[in-house]
Amino acid sequence: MKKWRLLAAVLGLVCLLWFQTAFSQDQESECPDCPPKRDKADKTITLEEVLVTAFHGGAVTITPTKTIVDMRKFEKSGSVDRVEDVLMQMAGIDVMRTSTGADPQQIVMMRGLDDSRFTVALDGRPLTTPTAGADTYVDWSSLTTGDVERIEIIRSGASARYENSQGGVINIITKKGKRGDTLKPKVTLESTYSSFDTYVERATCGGGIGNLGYFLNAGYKTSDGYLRNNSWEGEDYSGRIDYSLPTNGTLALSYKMSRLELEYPVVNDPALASYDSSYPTVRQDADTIRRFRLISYPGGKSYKKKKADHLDFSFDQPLGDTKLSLRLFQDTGEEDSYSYQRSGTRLVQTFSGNKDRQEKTVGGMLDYEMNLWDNNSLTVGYSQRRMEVASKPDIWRIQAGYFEDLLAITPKLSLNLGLRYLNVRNYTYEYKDYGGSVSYRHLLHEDLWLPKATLSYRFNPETEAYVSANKDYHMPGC
Amino acid sequence: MDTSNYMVANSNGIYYATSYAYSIDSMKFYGLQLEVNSKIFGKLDIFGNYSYRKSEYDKSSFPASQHLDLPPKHKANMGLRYPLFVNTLITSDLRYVGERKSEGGKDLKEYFVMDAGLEQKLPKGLVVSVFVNNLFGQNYQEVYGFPMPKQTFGIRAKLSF
Repeated sequence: MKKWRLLAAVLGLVCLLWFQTAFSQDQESECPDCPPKRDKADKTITLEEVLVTAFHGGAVTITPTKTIVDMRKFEKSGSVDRVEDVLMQMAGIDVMRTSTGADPQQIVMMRGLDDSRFTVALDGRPLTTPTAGADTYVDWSSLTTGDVERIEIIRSGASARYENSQGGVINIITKKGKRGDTLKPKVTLESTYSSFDTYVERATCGGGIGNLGYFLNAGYKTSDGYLRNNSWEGEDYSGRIDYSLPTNGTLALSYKMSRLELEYPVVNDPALASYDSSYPTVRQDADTIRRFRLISYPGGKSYKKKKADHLDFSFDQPLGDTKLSLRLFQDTGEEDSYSYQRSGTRLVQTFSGNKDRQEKTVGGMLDYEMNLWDNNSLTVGYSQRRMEVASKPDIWRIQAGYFEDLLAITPKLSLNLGLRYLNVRNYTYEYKDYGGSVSYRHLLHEDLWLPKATLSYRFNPETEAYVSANKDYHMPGC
Repeated sequence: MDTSNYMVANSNGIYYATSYAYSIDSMKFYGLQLEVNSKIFGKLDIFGNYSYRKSEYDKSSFPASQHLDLPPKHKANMGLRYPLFVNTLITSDLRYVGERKSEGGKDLKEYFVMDAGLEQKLPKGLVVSVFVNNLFGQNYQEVYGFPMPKQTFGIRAKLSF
């Protein structure tokens, strides 16, 4: 009934507001929510703009080093509610799902590397967590698109700013409210119904006045699913407030949360007495995909409850031809998972969750970008992250200092040099030493220098070639 | 990409007696990506891409291909957008995924899926669209053992003001 109440409320609001606004439609510009270009990524686009090609009014833009998807313009023949709905259409990215919905066993690979070996970033700061405490390196089901302005798919680990990016970087840029002369917000209401009683409802609202801007987003989804024991129900919310300082700087505070309850598809094998012919066949030798999980069987509880929360604070301050940026963030993830699965010749009810599946990341990034010279841009930065699981405190401390220098040697030839110094402190999960009999947590340290270099040559306004040589490091995870 | 000490973990699945971590001395990845944006016949927008990937490692030292050969060697996507009338848009998204290996080393067949949709802009910021996924009812699996649905139908309404 919850979905019907929400649907009725949304449709009622649609009707009400439609009539209220019938004679007050604004002629919005093509890009009403566009924030001023200000970050490093935008600057890079500017440098390469002669090579940009765009699809369908700018929905997909291709540059030599990245593909940019503008979510205001990106449409697809079907629902686009999660980041993976977009990624599956992109080059070099493989999305493998067990069902069409938010999928606990899905895997996303980039250039043949799993999601522990590329970085997913939110507004330029990393989301990927090597603890996998909540069973995933990236909780893809939480990455809904209602508050996403654009997705940047950065090929290769050429940036010294990001760690753990052998496969590349997927940077998710969130929406900001457009400030105007009135408090009138820009509102979007969206409702999708599709097969298997699948509903996706979403409402967003953004605006601002004076120095203050805001953006709010709420979504709800539910489905019976296609396979046996394959339903899901979830909701997500996000909010962002921007405040412009008299110094031309910007303060921003944002919060994004997701709650999802979903069932694991279970074996539905004609060879078993439990077979139900009203559902498609899923045999016992189906892949498990995610590590340490067995396929579930009917007869018990097989579902998970998953939570994700992201809290961000940022401060950006232009200082003449330089810019200072500070990002502070906290991520928490949590899941309780039930699976009715085989143990030897018997089927048993299993559970994982509570403190073993509650993870937390706290981190910060400081960047200082200098455009003090002709044909040269230098950025120096420092980042630190600490990660833990409730039952295993203080697993990771990762800190790095880095610089990136973009030098236009000639109008056609440019060189991007970077160096990342990485210091990793890993207070591991328990394991036995070789030949030992006792498991205990080991304290490991790693210091690494990771050089990056990319040389680009533009033959003409439409053709550019680049060669990139980079060294990276993979956090081994657990 | 050349990766030394490439760590993989075997699942505690029916194919393996226990779970364990394994370090592959050298793991090499090769690949090719092509992307194109174009407009043909005046109005037809095309976004397409093709990806080729291959990985190499000493298979004699690590018998299981888990997670290493899951992605296909060949993959291609194409998005088509055609404005039938001023406010009417036909969309189609095509996806080709080549043969792959499953986690348990079984073969997964290639598949080709076509989605299609029709989008109509109405007054007062309302956009209504209908779509069908897997238009031709292709039998396919993205993950071994889990069949994906044949045709699925949907309708979407979006109001902006």
